[in-house]
Formats: sequence, structure tokens, C-alpha cells
Amino acid sequence: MRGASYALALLVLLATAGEALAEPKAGRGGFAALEGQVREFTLPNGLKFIVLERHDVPIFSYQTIVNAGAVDEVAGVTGIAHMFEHMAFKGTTHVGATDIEKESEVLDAVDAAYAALRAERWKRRDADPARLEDLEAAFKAAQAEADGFVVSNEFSKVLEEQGAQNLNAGTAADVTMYAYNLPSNRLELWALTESDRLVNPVLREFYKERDVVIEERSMRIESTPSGRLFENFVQTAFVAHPYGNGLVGHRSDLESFSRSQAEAFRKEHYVAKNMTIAVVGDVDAKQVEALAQKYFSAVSAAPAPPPVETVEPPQAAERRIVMEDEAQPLVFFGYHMPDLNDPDFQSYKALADIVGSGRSGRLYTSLVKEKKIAVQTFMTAGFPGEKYPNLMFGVLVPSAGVDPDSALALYDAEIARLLADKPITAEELDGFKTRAQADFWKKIGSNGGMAEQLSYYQMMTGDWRNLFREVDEVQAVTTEKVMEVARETLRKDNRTVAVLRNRAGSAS
Amino acid sequence: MRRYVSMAQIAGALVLLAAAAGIAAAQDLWDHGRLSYPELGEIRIPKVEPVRLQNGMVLYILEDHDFPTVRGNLLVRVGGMVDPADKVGLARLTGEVLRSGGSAKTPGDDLDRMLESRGASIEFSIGSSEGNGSLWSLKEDAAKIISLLAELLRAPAFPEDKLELAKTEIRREIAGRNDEPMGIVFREMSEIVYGSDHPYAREPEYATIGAITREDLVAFHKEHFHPDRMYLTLVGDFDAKAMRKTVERYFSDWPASGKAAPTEPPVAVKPAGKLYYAEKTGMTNAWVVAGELGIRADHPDYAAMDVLGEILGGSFSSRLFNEIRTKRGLAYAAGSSPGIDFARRGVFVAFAGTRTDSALVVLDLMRREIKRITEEPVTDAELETARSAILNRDVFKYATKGQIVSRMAYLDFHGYPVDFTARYPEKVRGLTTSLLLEAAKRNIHPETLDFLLVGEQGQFAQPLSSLGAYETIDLTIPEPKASVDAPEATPEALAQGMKLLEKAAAATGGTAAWAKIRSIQQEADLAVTVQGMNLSIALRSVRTADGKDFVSQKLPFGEVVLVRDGQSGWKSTPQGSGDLTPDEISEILEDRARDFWSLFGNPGAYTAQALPPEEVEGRLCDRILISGGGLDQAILYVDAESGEPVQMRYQGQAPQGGPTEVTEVFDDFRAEGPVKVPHSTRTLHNGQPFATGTVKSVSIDGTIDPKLFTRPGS
Repeated sequence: MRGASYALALLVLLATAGEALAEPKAGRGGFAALEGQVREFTLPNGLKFIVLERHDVPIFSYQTIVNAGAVDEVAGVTGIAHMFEHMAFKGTTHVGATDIEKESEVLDAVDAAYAALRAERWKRRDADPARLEDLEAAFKAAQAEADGFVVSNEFSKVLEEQGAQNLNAGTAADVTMYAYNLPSNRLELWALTESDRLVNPVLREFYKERDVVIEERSMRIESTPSGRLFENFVQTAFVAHPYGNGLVGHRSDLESFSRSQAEAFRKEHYVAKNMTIAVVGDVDAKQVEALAQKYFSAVSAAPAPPPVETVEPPQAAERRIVMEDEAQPLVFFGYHMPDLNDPDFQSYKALADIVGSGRSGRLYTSLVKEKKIAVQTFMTAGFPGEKYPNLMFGVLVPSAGVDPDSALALYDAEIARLLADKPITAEELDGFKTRAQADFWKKIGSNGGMAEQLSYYQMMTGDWRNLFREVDEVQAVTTEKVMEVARETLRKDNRTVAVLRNRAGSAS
Repeated sequence: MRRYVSMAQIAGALVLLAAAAGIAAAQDLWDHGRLSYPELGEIRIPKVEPVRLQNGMVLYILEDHDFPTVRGNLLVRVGGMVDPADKVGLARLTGEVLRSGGSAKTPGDDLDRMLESRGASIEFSIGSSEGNGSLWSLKEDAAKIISLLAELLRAPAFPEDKLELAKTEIRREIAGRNDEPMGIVFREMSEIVYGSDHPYAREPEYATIGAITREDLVAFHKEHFHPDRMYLTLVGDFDAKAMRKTVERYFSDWPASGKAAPTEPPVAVKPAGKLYYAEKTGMTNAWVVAGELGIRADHPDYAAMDVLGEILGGSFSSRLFNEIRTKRGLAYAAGSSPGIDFARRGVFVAFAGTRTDSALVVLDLMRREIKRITEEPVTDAELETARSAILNRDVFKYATKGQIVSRMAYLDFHGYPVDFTARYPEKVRGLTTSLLLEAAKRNIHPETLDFLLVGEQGQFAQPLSSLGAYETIDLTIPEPKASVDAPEATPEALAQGMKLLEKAAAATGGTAAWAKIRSIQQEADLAVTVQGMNLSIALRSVRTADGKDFVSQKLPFGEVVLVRDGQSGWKSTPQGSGDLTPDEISEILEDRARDFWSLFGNPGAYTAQALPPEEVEGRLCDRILISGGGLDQAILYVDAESGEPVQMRYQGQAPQGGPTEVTEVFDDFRAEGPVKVPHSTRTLHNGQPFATGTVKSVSIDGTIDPKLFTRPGS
């Protein structure tokens, strides 16, 4: 067994960070036919649906994408987008309820008890310990009473029982997504349950789920050296833009925000105009439309919330953090770059790919194969999200015994060579273009992958057709443009570097 | 909702009726209980007949014209299970270098470029029970990919540099294997269940990796890679007949081995029921895991264990998920896996990552739930939910043509009947709560189940000993054994060793002359080669008899200075300055203990043992195994005639991957004051040239700049 190494933990983080949602590609040939089969419609409340029929196997996949992610959180409620993703499995007024009216009353009492407890906690040092104890007890008692009206895990159970596979949800910096696969004879069950949790959610068992989220934070971030380094890296790279908040939220926010704050976040962001749903598989587009009208018309028709207006100011100097830990060295770096609707976005993608991907990329060839000072290198554009200006992000995993500063120095030398006398070649760029085409087919190979891509492109670019149009953008990239972008981006005063150094006393 | 009704009452009967009807409809709308489902559409399973070539290679080929691509899988009957105990990692290295090294015709780096420029991939790796390959390409490159695969499988080049690269990767993995808690959890549970020496649980170590040579890889490939031990599946946008011809063109003239493939090693149940603890600091959570030997999928209880696994911890509404996560909020990750494997008996595990202070509470919950499932029947509702879930999602086994074919080939490869997948649903349908209880009793053993806790015991709510006896797992990563198998240290050998050490001292000026020295200052140029990269380092060192050390290394990216003034020490580097770490101090002391000045000036401080002489580059050398005196172990080679030091060997750190055997070769001895010191030194790592040093100046008892030992800013 190779075990779950730092690389695995990192992958988990990257996946959480929305990598799975990012970087779709297109290529030549076969697209037009596929594009022609895609159907779309929009309900009066503004909810957009995209449907692609594929009748090979009696199954289908869907993805609901909400244009709200960690980037939409404000101080005090970081982590709430992710928290809400968890709450989306807690049932509705119909599912998981035994007596919804009484439960609503008791949940109001829980809110009141928490508000009283929180008000006492706000007094900080002046809080009365005896009163705190009483309030905590009252809060616990109210929760226990509310639990009496809950059928736990009912929402997941209803779906799993009917054959739901890969029941999943994810919160990224830019968006939150919900997805699973279901046998196609249960299409109506999907329409019913999915609309139910959008229209009639009950945020029950909220404070226990908040503890679960704290444990998730503990497991992913706090208890792993790469997680700790990663969180500090992102926080350092952005001083103004909320991309710097990370995905999971600050521990203190998780320990204090309330059910009503989560409800407020939901009301603002989970509105029809701020969502897209894609359905792919053995379905009849007409039937999907009829079911959508029947079930999803009640989703809130409120206006979509405004975008983030804060713009990350240009960096004036390199930022570098060093973390000493009982772990093998690791280096993260990130250079500021523009958002995905920038006309040169594909040139940035090309740069990251040619420098940092695969076994024949620049970094792997030089640092791993030739110099053997690193065992892994990686670079990607569009991190941690791509809706707003973001980072070209990279990782160096130094070989055992190589100190991270030397590895970074050799990485810098490689970048210097790229900018000075070894520019990107036409052959390298052609490789990128072919890989982009291959990646496109890989990503849409499954129903789930296709649903993900269609809904993502619709939400992020305003038109799912951009999934197919990207092929032309990729083909139009030139070596000159990539080098221009490289010179502009790969500057030390435009980057943040995070170094994990092995603390003395641990195995080296 | 009731409020609307009362408003409607005020508005009048007609409105009341309309509103009430609307509410009833709205309430019904989201009542999933009212739904009924049409029959599931027909699952059309494509016909695929396996083709067995004359040489025994089995092909599964299926057309799929949905996308202009070709996907493939390869299975090979080979695994880490056949690795010799002193060369654990051999199968894995063979798998990696088979791909990374390319073939004689297409070297690895060319292969990488060729594939990636086409957006294609060929990957291959060897696990503990089987070899696994995967292929992917756009349709136009399919034939090329097949031919490259054949080159790799039939005539891999196994170049030395790619073997070294793969070893570097594994060494990094060994060095970091305790960095992330989850890695520790699953590795250690596997060792507990199978036994740490069992082929399914063994880990490569520095020593076993170090012992593997290119010849081992070549021999391993020769023994285990034959067409009659391989299954190849291909799915994609091609003509099946033409594709079969293509495969035959590249593979059919490869002769069969005619010999039986290696078989899975036996696994033994070790009734233990022990509690294990592995200390891992720097965590805000702890991992609690229970485990025992699981079953192979051909076991009669396969379906029952699958359903029990679903109920115990395999779904978002399972018992462990509900008790640990939903009801108590104690964990994010909580669940279990029934330990069913198709190749061998897997590992049954229950797991949870929980707040450190609730670790023991979770352990208790887990123990209770596992026990309960073997003592009381599951409820009818639980059985129904689990059974429906498994039966309703069965269709996903047929989700894509690629999945269907890979599954068929995989089951056939492991000897399962053709209808294994198709007959599974009827087995699940036949289960009852009492059959499940019997199966649970047969296969889950709460009394002999082993538990493992990974975390920081100091933070647990109660001491671990409150649960009774436990065994602490030592996570220390073993350094390679000393490179010499030293014969027994007889009094004669020790006396002879000391005589040889004194002879070496005499050859370089004599013990008295070395002992009188108060300080040595030296400047040297060092040329270091780290795999193709050349670094020049200007070295300056000052050492005094009263225990001060100053070392400066001027590197291309700045100067690194390490200073030790007796007790404490400090350093300055381009990244800043600070105290020397205990590791750095011990490294300086060790280096000092290896110095001729220490060895020859105070030989009595060491233990010296004579080893049998050896010839080195045409010179017969006496060998002295030296230890003690602050030195772990080193072997000094001295000219058998003159006593002049020739070389020294010891274990050190390589810059690119863990421990290495260091050899320093001395040359060009020149008189410096009362003693003779080498002016040229070559350093080898594991026998490969690493650095050459040329001394520029030596000053014995010269004037020392006091500023060198004044801490900056103090």
C-alpha cells in the first residue's frame, strides 16, 4: 500500500477548491453534432435548465450549480457557503419531519436560546460564568427538544434507497454544486426532491452539523501539514479579495455564526436567477421541462445578488511565508492572473500547462527528471476560482534531503531561462492544443461530467455554448502571446511563495 | 400555512375553497411517497466475446462510436506479493521504470513527449496483487499507442537513470510517510490485519530500495511478463476486427511462458482483539479505526456482507454515520468498508476522524455498533433500505461501455464466472434479516477485532490506559543498516584496530603533533554534481581546540554560515538567520569527530576494530571500523604499507533522497605545519561521484578573526 500521502491530502484540497469544476476544454470535430443536441429552457422565475439526451443506458445525471461560493462570504460568516451545502442534506418541510409546525416553533426557540448565549459570550471577559453555563444548558435543551421532531438523514436515505449513486455536493470558491446519478425511471423523484430542498428547506440539526464542519476543517486543514501550509498560502496571496478566505471558513466564525445567518445567506444567494441545472442521460427533454415547470416554479424569483466588487490591489513585492513543521518540505507558489472571461485566458492556461503539467512539461523535465531535486511539480491556471482575477498556482515537492529553498532557487532558474533564452516553442504549444482537445472528450465522457460542464459554463460565462467555442480560442493562442503573458505574470513581485521546512527533531 | 387558511376564511367561501385546494396540492406536490416509478428501461449489455490469442493473451474488444477516442486497460498476473523480503519494492520499481524508462527503440523521455503531444497516455503500475495498465488516445493514434504498449511490455529498456529517479521518488515517499495522519491510519491497519511482514502489508524501506539493481528489474521482467498472463481490453471508436488485427500484429509473435503464474500468498486470521496506538502530534483531530480480515468476493457471504456494510457504515444513513456524525457531530469522516476484494481477502474497517478529546467516546460507539450488528438482527426497514439501494443502483455497473468491458475482463481475470455480475441482484433479493445476522456472526468478530488510534494521547479526555492494555506502534522510519557486516569485535581485532589508527596518525605527523594543534583554518573549492546540475561552493572552515566551529559555504544563491561557539550555535542563510537546530549541531559534532585532527590527536577516545584488508584502486588497504568519540560509525581505509589514509566510508544524507553511503577519497597529502593533510578529496554517494574538493589554503594555529565567533547583532 502506498498509503495516503501529502499528495493525496493535497488532491483532496485541490478537488475541494473546485479544480474538478475548472478548466474544461474543447477540440475540433464532432462538436457541432453534440452542440446541436443540447436543449435549454428558462422558467419564468429565471431558473435555467440545460438538457442533453443520451439513451444508451437507463440512467441520468444532473448538476445544480449555484453561483455562490466561499468568495461570497463576508467577515464573520466565512465558511457559510460550505455550511449551507451541508444543510442541503438536512431535509425539508416534507422530508425528515414528523411535525413540521411544532418543529418550526422549537427551532425558533433554539435560535432564541443561541442568540441569548451568544449575547452573553459577546461580553467576553465580563461574561458571567454562571449565566453562561445556564444559557449553554438552555441551548442544549432546546436542541434536544428539536431533535425529537427529526428523522435524521432522511433526505439522503430517500435518494439512496431509490438507487442514487455518487450522491455529492461541493463548495468551491466561485460556486456550490449538487449532483448525483439516478436510474432514469426515477426522474420525477429527482425533480421533486431537488426542488423541495431549494423551495422548502429546514435548517435542522444546524449546530451539530456546524460541529461536523468544524471536524471537516480539523481533518482537512488543521491536522495535516500540507493543509496548514495551503491555508496560510491562500491567506497571504490575497490581502483584499475574499479568495483569501479559503473554502472552509475561519474556526472562530464556524464556532459562532447562527442558523439565522445561514438562512439569510440562502435567501440572498439561492434564487432562481443565480442557479443553473443541467440534466444529461436517458431523459426526454420535453418531460424534463414539464417536471421543471411543475416543481421548480416555486424557487425564489428574487433578483440575483451583486458580484464581489473588491479588487485585489496589484502586488508591489514578493510575499513569502515559511512554516516549520514535522513534515517533509513542500513549496506552493502563486502568481496573480486575470479571470476566465479575459480575452487572453487561454494563453494563461497554455503557459501553466506547458510549464507545469505532465512528464514532458518544463518543470518536470528539468527539476524531476534531470536534476532529481524534486519528485513532483505541478502548475495550474485559475486558482482558487476563476470568476474573479486569481492565481496561477504551482507546487514543488522536493526530493528527500533537498532543502526547499534550493528547490525554489532551481525552479526560479528554470523560469528565468524560459523568459530569457528558452521561449515556448511552436511544438510545445501544439502539444497544449492537442491535450486541450483530448481533455474535452475525457471530461464529457460520462453523463455526470457533461452535466457538470454544461451547467458550469452557463453559470460562469453566461452561455453553455462557450464550452464548445473554447476550441477556437485555444486554437488561436500564439507563442508570442503566451510569452507576453509569461513575462507579465511570472514575476517575483507578482507572487506569493509558501515554504514548508522540516523542523529539526523529526525524521528528515 | 395555517395562517393563509384563516385569511382565506375572512375572504369568503369561494376563496377558501380555492386556497385550500391549492394548499392540498402544494403539500402533495412534494410528497415523494405518492410517486410510483415505471419499469426501468432495458439495459442493453453489449456482446463482447473474449478472444484468446495463440500465446494465451486475452483480449476484450468493443466498439463505442460516441466519442472519437480509444480507451484501454491491461491486467498482468504479477504483484509485489512476489518481492523478496530484502527487496520489497522490486515489483513496484519494475512497473514504474517499465513505463518511465521506455523501450530500446523509444526511450522514456521521447515516449513522454510523443504521448503528451498527442494528448495520449500509457500508464502502468504494479500493486501487491496485480499489474495494471491504462491507455487513452484520440482515435487516430490508436495503432501507435498499441505498438508503443507492445514495445514497453516486450522490450523495456530499464535505464539506470530512470531507476534512480523512481528510487528518489520512493525515498521521498518513505521520508514523508508519517506526514499525513490518514496515510498512517490505513498503512498501519493493513499491517495489523495481515501482519507487518505479509506481502500485502510490507512497505519499501531505504534498505530494500537500496538493494534493488537494474539487473533485478531485468530478471523480474523476464520472469513475470508473458502474454499468457495478460488481459487487454480496448473500447472506442474503431472497427473491432481491424483493432484485433492491430493487436495481433504487435503481440501474437510473443511466445507464451507455458508456466503457471504466481498465486496469492496465504492469509491467516490472527485472533488478536488488541488496541494499538500510534502517536502523531500536530493534529486537532484523532483517527479511530477498527479492522480485521475481510472476505474474497467469491465467498458465499459476499452479498450479505455487502448489505451489512451498507447498513453499518456504507451510506449517508448508515448506523456509524448516524451515531457518530449526524446525532453527535463528533466527526466529518465516519463509516466502514466491508473488506470485500476480488483478488484476495480484503480488510474490514470501520473508521472515524474525530475531535481529539472525543476519541475514546467514538471508539466506544464504534465498538458498540459493530457488536450490535453481530448480536441483533437488523430491522426490516434497514434491510429494505439497503437492499433497495443496492438493487436500484445495480444499473450503474453498466453505465458506460468502458465500465462494462473492464468489469467483465477483471472478473474473468480473477476466475469469476461470466454471469457473476448478472446474478448478483438475485442473491441480494434472497437475503433476510436472520440470514444477515448469521453472516455477521460468521464474518465480523467484535471480540478479536483490532483497534487503532492515531493522534496525541495527551489530548484525549481520558488516558488510553483506561481502556486496558494497549500496544504502541513505533512509526520511526528505519535507516539502512550499517553497510558493513562487521565480524565480531575480538580483543585482538580491537587491539589491532588501535594500532592501525596510530599508524595512520604516524603517517600524517604523529599523535603528539596532531594533539598539540590549537586551531585549523582551511579554504577549499568544492564542485558538486547533483544529477546533471553542477554547483560551485567556496568553503571556509575554522575549528578550534576549545570546541568552536565556523563553516561558511558560498553557494550560487547566497552564503550559508554555521557557527558553534562551544554550547550554542547560530546560522545565517539568504533566507534569514537563527539558532542552529539540534540536528545541525549534532551534524557539526559528527563531522568534527570524523576529522583527522580528532581521530589522530586523540585516538583513545574511539573504539577501533580491524577489519579484513581490501584492495582499493590497486592499493591494498587495511580497514579500521571506528565508533565512539561522538562518531556513529565509519570505516577508515589506510594504505597497508605506509599507513596513509586512503578513504573513509560512513552513512550520511544525500541531497536528493534520504540516507546514502558516503565515501571520501583522500589524495595529494601535503605538509602543513607539523602534520600532513590531503589537498584533494573526492566524495562519492552510493558509489556515484558527488563532489570534488580542492584545498586552497590551510593555516594551523594561525590568527583567528574573533568576529567570526561573535553572533551578529549581539
